[in-house]
Amino acid sequence: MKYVRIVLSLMLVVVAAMVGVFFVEKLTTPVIEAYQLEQANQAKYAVFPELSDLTSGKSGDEIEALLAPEEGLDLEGTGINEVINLDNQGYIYTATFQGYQSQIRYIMGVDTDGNITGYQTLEQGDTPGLGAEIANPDYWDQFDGMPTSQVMEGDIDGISGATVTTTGWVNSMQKVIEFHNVTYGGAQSETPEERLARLKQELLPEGATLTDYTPQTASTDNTPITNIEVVSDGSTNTHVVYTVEFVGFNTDDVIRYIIGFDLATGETIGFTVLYANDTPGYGLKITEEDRWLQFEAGKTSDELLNGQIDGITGATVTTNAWKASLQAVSQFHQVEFEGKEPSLTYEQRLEQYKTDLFANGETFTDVTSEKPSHIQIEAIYDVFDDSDTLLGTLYHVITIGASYSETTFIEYYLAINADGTFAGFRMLRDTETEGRADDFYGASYDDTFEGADIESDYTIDDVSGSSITKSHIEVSIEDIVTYHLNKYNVRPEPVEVSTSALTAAYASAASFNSIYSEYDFEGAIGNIYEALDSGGTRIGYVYVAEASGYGGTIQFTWGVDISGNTQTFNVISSGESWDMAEQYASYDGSQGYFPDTPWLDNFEGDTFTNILADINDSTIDDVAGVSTTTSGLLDVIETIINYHNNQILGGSN
Amino acid sequence: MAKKQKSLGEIFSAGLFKQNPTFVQFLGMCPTLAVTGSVETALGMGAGVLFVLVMSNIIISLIRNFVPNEVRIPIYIVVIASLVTILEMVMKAYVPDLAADLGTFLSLIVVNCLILGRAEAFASKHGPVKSALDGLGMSLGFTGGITLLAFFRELFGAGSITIWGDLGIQLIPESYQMGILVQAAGAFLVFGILVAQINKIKFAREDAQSEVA
Repeated sequence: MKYVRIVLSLMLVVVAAMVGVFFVEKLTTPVIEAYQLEQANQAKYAVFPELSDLTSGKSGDEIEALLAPEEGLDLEGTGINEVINLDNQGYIYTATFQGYQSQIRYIMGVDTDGNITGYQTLEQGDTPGLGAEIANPDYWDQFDGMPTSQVMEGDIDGISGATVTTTGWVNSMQKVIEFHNVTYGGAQSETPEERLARLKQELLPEGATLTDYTPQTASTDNTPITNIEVVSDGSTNTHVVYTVEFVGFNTDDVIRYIIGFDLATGETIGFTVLYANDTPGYGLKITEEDRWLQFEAGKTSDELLNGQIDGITGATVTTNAWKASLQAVSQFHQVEFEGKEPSLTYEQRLEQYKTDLFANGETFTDVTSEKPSHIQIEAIYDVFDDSDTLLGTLYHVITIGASYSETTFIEYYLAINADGTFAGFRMLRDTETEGRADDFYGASYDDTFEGADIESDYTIDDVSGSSITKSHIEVSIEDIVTYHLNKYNVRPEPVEVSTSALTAAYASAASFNSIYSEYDFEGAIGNIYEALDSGGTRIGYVYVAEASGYGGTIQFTWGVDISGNTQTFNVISSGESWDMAEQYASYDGSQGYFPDTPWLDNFEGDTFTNILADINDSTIDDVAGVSTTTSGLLDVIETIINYHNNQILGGSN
Repeated sequence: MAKKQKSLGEIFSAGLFKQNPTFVQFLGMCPTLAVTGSVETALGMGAGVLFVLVMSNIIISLIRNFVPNEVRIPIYIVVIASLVTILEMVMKAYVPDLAADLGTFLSLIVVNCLILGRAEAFASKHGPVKSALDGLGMSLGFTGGITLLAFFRELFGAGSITIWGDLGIQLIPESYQMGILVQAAGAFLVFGILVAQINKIKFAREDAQSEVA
C-alpha cells in the first residue's frame, strides 16, 4: 500500500509538472522562434524594419525560373541570391556583384511604395580604404527611404577612388531594381516622369505650371538642350526651364541636368542633375547639391557664357564639358529670351575669327609643327585663298595676363598679311580679373593698327582701367612680330649671280649650286651656293650678300671653305666713292680705293672665327671717312659669319 | 524544549541577514561566482531565483503532507526542474538578451542548493504563507548578496555600472581598473574580501553580546 502511494504521488507530481511546462511552452515557443529567426536574419530586419514574416523567400533556381520568361531582362553583372516576398509589405533582395577585388554581397529591402527600406553590405573583400568602404555604414544610410527611381538614375554617393567597385555596385542595384520592377511590377514611389516633374517644380516658385515651349528666334540645333519649358503668367513668360544633356569624362553615358532662369531678373533660379554616370569622386561630384547652390543664388547668362561657375576640382574634362553645355544654353537663352545678338562660345570664336580676319581665306593650314616653337604661340596657320595664294599668317597666341595675385592668361589671334602688314587682332578668351578684359573682345577692338606695317610703329588702343592687360597684349604682339620677321617672313627668291662672280669668290671651285632654300632666311643674305670641285664634292660655300653702302647697295660674293677658311671677297657692284676717306689721316688712298681697297683683304685668307673675333675687338674697324660703307659691311659680314656658324657649320654639317 | 514559533517578520528577514544564503550559508556558490561579472546579470539571476524559490517553496509547502518521505527529494527536484524550465522559456521569450547573458546558469538554477535546501529545510515543514515569505526573504538575500558582489566587481573591474544598457557612466578611468575582477578569479577575491568583512562585523557583534551576557 505504501509503495502504491509512493508511485502514485510521484506520477501525479510528474504529470502536473508536465502539464504546467506544456502550457508555458505552448505560450512561449512562437515568441522564442520569432526571436531566433530575427537573430538569424538580423540583416533582413535591418534593411526592412517592418519585417514580420520571413516564410516566402525565393532563391537560386527559383529565381532563374522566375527570370526565364521575362524578355529583355538582362541581369548581367549581378547575381540575385535570394528574394523574399513579404506579402503586402515589400521585398528583400540579397545579391552579389564583382567588386574590384572580391565578390560583394549585399542585402536591401524595397517596400511596396518603391522606396528602399534599407541597405547593408554583408560580405566583401575589397581594397581597404577604397572598395572596402562599401562596408562602411555611412554609405548605407543614404539608401534609407531612397526611391528606387533615384538609384535607377544613378544618383547615389559612390566611393571616391573606387570606380570599379562603385560602378559594379550601382549597376547591380539597378539590375536588381529592374528585376524587381519587371517581376513584381515594382510599385514605384514615383515614376521617372514624376521625379522629373517634381525636380522641375522644386526649381520654380510654388504653383507654377510648366508648358512646353517652341523656340521663336533661336534654334536648339547643335545645342545640348533637349527640352524647353516655360512658366507663363498668362501674358508673358516668367520662367524657363531647360533640360540639357552633355557627355562628361565617361564618354559612354550622358550627364543630364535641368537649369531654370527667372526671365524677370535674367538670373538662374536653380540647377539639378537628373542623371549622371561619371567617375565617382570626380565627375560624379556634379550630383552634389552644394555645387548646385551657385545657380540658386543667381547667375546671369553672361556669367554662364564666360564659364564663370565653380567647377569640379580634379574633373577637368567633365567640368569643361559642363561649362561648354552651359555656354550653349546661355547662347540660346540670350538670343531667345534676352533679345541679344547671338554670341559666340570660345570654340565658335576660334572658327569665326579666322574668317573675320581673313575674309578671303579659303584654307587655313596648320603649320605649327613645321615652325620653330615659341612659348606664347599655340598655333600658326598659313592662310590661302581659293586660288591657293598665300594671304597671310594667323597666330593663335596665349600670353600671361595682368593679375598680380594669380597667374592669368590672355588668348588672342594675331593676323599678319603676306605683305607684312597687320590683318587684325581678335581676343579669344582670358582669365583676367572679372570684367577687366571685357572691352578687348569684339571686332571693334583693335582695328586701329589693321593695315599698319608690322615693322613700323603701330599703336594698340588703350582700354580704360585695363592698362596692364593692354600692355601685356602689346608686348606679346611685339614678340610675335619679331618671331614672324625672324622665323617666318615670306622669303624672297634667292638672288641669282653670274658664275664669274661666284668663281671670283671661290677660284678653286669647278661648279656652284644654290642651297639657300635648305636653310633659314636671313635678310642680309641673298643667296648661298655650295662650291663643288670637279668631282662634285662640296669644298665650300659662296655667300651672296648685300650691304647698304654710302653710295647705294653693295652686292658681293664671298667664299669660304668647309673648314671656315675664307676665300675671295668679291664686290660685284657698288656706287661707293671713298673720296671722303682720303681726307682722313688714317687713309691716304695709296692703298687703293673701294672696291680695290686692302681693307677688304681683311676678309680674305683668314678664318671666320678670327674675323669674327677681330671685328668684336675692333682689330678690324671701320674706316674713318667711309664709316657708312665700312660699318655697313662689317654688320653684314658679322651676320654672315653668325649665320654660317648657326646654320651651315652648326647645322647640317 | 518546545521550539519557539518564529514570527513572519523574522522568517522574512532571516534570509536577508542572519541566514543570508550567500554570505552566511554559502549556498548557490556556482551562480554566485559565475554571474556576478555585472550587476545586470546578477539582478537577472536574482530575479530568476526569486521566482523559482518562492514558487517551489509554495508548491512544496502545499504538497508536503501528501509526499511520501521516501520520494520527497525526487519530487522536489521534479517541481524545481519544471519551474526552472518554465522560467527559462519565459525568459527566452520575453527577455532574450538577459537569457543569453545568463546562458547555462539559468538552467543550473535547478541544482542551486539554495532552492532544494529551502525546500527540504523549510517548505516541507511549514505552511505556504510562511514558506512563501521564507522563499522571498532567502531569494532577496541571495539577490542582494550576488548584486553586492557584482557591484564591486563591475565597479572596480570595468569602471562603470551598466544596467539595461542605459546607466553606463564611466566612474573609474580605464588605467585604474582591475581587469582581473571581472574574470572568474576576481569573483573569488571579491567574495573572500566581502565574507571577511561581514564576518568581522558579525563576530564583533557576537562578542559584544557575549560580554553583555
